[in-house]
Amino acid sequence: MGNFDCVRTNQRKRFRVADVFIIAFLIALSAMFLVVQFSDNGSGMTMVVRKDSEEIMKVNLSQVNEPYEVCIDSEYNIILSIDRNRAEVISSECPDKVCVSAGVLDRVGMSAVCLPAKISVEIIGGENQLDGVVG
Amino acid sequence: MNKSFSSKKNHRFVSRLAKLSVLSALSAVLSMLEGMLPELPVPGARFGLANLAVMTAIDIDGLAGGICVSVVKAGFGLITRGPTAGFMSLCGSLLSTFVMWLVYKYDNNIFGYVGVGVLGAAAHNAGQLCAAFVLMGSAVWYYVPFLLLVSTVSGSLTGVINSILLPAVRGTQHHSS
Repeated sequence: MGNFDCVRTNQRKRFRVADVFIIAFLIALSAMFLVVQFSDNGSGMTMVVRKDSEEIMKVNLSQVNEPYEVCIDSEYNIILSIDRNRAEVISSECPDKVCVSAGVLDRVGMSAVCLPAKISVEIIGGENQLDGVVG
Repeated sequence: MNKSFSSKKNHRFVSRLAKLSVLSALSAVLSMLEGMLPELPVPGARFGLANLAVMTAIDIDGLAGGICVSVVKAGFGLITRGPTAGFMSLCGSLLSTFVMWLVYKYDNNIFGYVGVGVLGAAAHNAGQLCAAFVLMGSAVWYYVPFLLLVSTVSGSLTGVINSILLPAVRGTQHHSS
């Protein structure tokens, strides 16, 4: 890296070696986040719906027998489809529809966030599954 | 203060005002255009084309220019996409402006335009995620890795475009301010 100082010019280049380091660092960081997020593979799955970071609904997804739909009232109404071990935001009245494009949530750690409605749907590990924890 | 000095100062002010106005309008148009582009496979991710205008403002005017353009862009977001989007846009662009300005000023050209673009895009996403975290809590963590990956691609794209555009923009200036 030291000899960069010698070849330094006044003109910024399109691409330099240091850029590769930034990109590699960001890719490594996101890989780390992915590993941490998806390493939690407990047997239970619980869906938590929050509005303004307050919990308004909690469903144990591993005990759902029949698919059903729930409408969550808010400034923008959101319709959730819930099935065994999966949940999905199927429609929303909000303008950007980011929550709908999050798709099916079927793993612990996945979430769908609707910022305009201030509603988040998050899949967390099951409760009372502590027999699986070691250390 | 003699008259000619005053008018020269005035001229510089008007010239800055004109340039920043054009860039602000450009950033609003770019963010609108971006909304028309096909959606990226990552929820909430965007190309960050409006960052081109912010980067240009930093290049020709410095930190103040970048902040001006960011604020106007956030105001445009506030009007067209609502208060939440406006707040998110403001947090993202202010952080990204600050990071890009720091790099621009102090890196001695160690980074290329691509590196500056990627850092700016990552900072933009980080700012937005922090805003979202304040509003929503822990559920936003899920989006972090995907948005980071997208920022490497979108930042490289804006970096390459800027490496072509900026020298041309600079060429049209009579004096740098």
